Amino acid sequence: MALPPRDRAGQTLEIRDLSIAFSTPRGHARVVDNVSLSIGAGEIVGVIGESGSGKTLTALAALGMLPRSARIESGRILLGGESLLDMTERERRAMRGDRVAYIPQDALRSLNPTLRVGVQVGEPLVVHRATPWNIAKRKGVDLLAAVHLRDPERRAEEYPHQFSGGMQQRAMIAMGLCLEPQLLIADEPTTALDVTVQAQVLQLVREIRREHGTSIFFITHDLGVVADFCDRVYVMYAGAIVEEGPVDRIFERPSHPYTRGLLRATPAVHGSKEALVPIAGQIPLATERPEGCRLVDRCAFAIAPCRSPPPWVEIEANHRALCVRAREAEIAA
Amino acid sequence: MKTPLLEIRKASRTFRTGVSPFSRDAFTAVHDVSFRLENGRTLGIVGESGSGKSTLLRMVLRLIRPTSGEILFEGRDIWMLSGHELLGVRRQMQAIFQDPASSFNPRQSIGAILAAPLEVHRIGTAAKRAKTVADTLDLVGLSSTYASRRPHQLSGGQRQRVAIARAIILRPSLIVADEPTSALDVSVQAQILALLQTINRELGLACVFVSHNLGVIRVIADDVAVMRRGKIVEAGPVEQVFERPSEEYTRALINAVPDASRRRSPVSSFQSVAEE
Repeated sequence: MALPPRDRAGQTLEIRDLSIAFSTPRGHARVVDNVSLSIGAGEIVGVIGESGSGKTLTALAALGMLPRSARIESGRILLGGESLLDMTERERRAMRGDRVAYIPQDALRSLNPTLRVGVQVGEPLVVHRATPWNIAKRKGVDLLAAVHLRDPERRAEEYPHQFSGGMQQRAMIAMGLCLEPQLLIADEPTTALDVTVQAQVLQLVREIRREHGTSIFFITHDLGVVADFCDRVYVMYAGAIVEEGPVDRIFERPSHPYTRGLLRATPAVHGSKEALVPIAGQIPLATERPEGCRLVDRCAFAIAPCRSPPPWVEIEANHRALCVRAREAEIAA
Repeated sequence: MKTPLLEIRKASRTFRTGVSPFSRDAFTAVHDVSFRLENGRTLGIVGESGSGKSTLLRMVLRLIRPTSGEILFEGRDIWMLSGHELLGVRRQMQAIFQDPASSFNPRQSIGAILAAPLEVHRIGTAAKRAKTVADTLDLVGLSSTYASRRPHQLSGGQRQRVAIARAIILRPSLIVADEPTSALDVSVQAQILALLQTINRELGLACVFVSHNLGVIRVIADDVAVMRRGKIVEAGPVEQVFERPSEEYTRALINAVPDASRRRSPVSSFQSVAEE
C-alpha cells in the first residue's frame, strides 16, 4: 500500500520492505518482517516495541552491523539516498561514525575501559579524518563540554569506570557527535538511567537536533519517552510495524489494538490514576507466530478475518494501522 | 496503640569505604529511617539509584544488620530472636527479587523449587506438598504442568509468577519485593502487578515494594515513602504524594517522568541532581 504523499527524496534514512531472518534449531525465524520506515532531515523518529519486536535488529541493519548469522531476505536500506546493502564492508566502515552514529543502551560496555575518555571521544577524527591524536584529544574535551559535562578538562583524563551512568551516556553521545553525523541511531540510551538523568539526556539530544539538524532514530520501549520526545513514531510488535504516525495523533487516537493495549498497560504517573489493563498472553516466538495478524491470540477484538494477513488502514493523514478493524468504534472505545 | 506488623525505628546503616583496615572512611547508605507497616497494607519505596532503598530492604529481610536503630516484626526486634523464633519470622516474611532466574536453582524443577520452603519448615507429607505446589501454581496463573519444567524453559513473566508462588506458598504475612517488574516488558509487567494486587488482597498480605518506577509504585502501593540519599524525604498515602507532593524533590522526581497519558514537556533542567 502506498505511503502518504510525503517528500521521499530528502529522507536521511529510508528502509523499504526489510525482512531479516535467522536459522534456528526450531526453524526459520523471520525476526524483522517487511518493515518500511523513513526518517527525514532533523526529525526525531521513535520506534517503540517490547522485547522481540525486532526494533534493535532494524537499527543494526541500518548500520550494516547485523550479526553474521542474520540474513537479509529482502528490502532496501537507503542512507541519504545511497544503498547500504550495495556497499562494500570498507565503505560501510567509512560511513559508520562519520555519517551515522550509534548510541547503545549500555554505555559502559561500549566504552574502552583502558582508554581515557577524552581520547575515545575524539577518536573518530583520527579514524575518519586522519587527524593527529593530540588535536583529536582536544576536540574530545570540547565535545565533553558540549554535552554539559562539568570540568571537561579533568574528566577527559579519567577512565570510563570513574564516570556515573549518566556521564558515560553523555560521553557516548559526545563521541557520536564528533563528526556531526546526519543520523544518530540511539538504542534505548536512557533505559538504564534514573528519570532525572534521563530528562537531562533527552534534553541534550533535543539540543543537538536543534543545533545541528541531526536526524534521530530513537529506539525505546517507553511510551512516555516517545510522547515527550519524538515527532513521529512506529509501533513494532513481533517483527512488524503495526502502527505509524505523528506522535500527537498516535496518543490522541491510538488505532491498533496493540498500541491501545500498550497505553493501557503503562502505569501513569501524571493525571488521574487509572487501573492497568494487562495485555493477555505473551509475545509469540518468531518461529511460532499465528497465521494472519500476529496479535490475534492476544487481541480482545479478534474476529475471523484476523486469521488472514491484516491490511494497512489509513486512520488520518500520515497515520495508519495494520489492523482490519482499526477504524471501528468498538476498538476505539 | 496496636503493634504494627513491621516497624522500622531510626534505622541507619553505614558501610566502610576505605581500602585500609584502619581507614575511617564511611558511607551512610540509610540514615535514621523510620516507618510502620500495618497488616494488609502495601508500602511503596521509591528513589533513584543510590538512594538507599535496597539497603533498607535488605535490613528488613535481616540480610544486613543496621548500624543503629531497630527492625521490629510483630513488635519484636528481629536481631534479638532465638533460632527457633527466627525460623518463625522467616516463615512470615518472604521476598521477591528483580531477577528470579538468579534466585532459582537451574537444575531443579519448578515443583522442587516450590516445595523447598515447605520442606524446610517441615510442612505436610510429600503428597500434601505436591498438592500445595499445584494449588499455588494455579493461584499465580500457571497450570500444574509447569511443576515439571525447569527455570530456563520459562519466560521472564512466568519466572516471576513462580517467584511469587514461592513467596506465598508458606502463607506469609509480609512480602518484600525488590523491583520485581523492572526486567519485564510493559504488557507483562501489567500482568504481574495485577497478579500481585489480587494475591495481596486475597491473602491479606502486607507488602514492602521497592521500585525506581513511580508509575508502578502508584499502581501497587497504598502508601509511599520517597527516599533520597539514605533518608525518607516524604511519605504518605500514595495519591496524596503523587497529586500534592509537599517536597520539592518529590515534585521534581515526578515531573522528570515522561508522560504517556497527556503530552507535556518534562522539566528541562533538573538542577538538584549532582553529576559528581
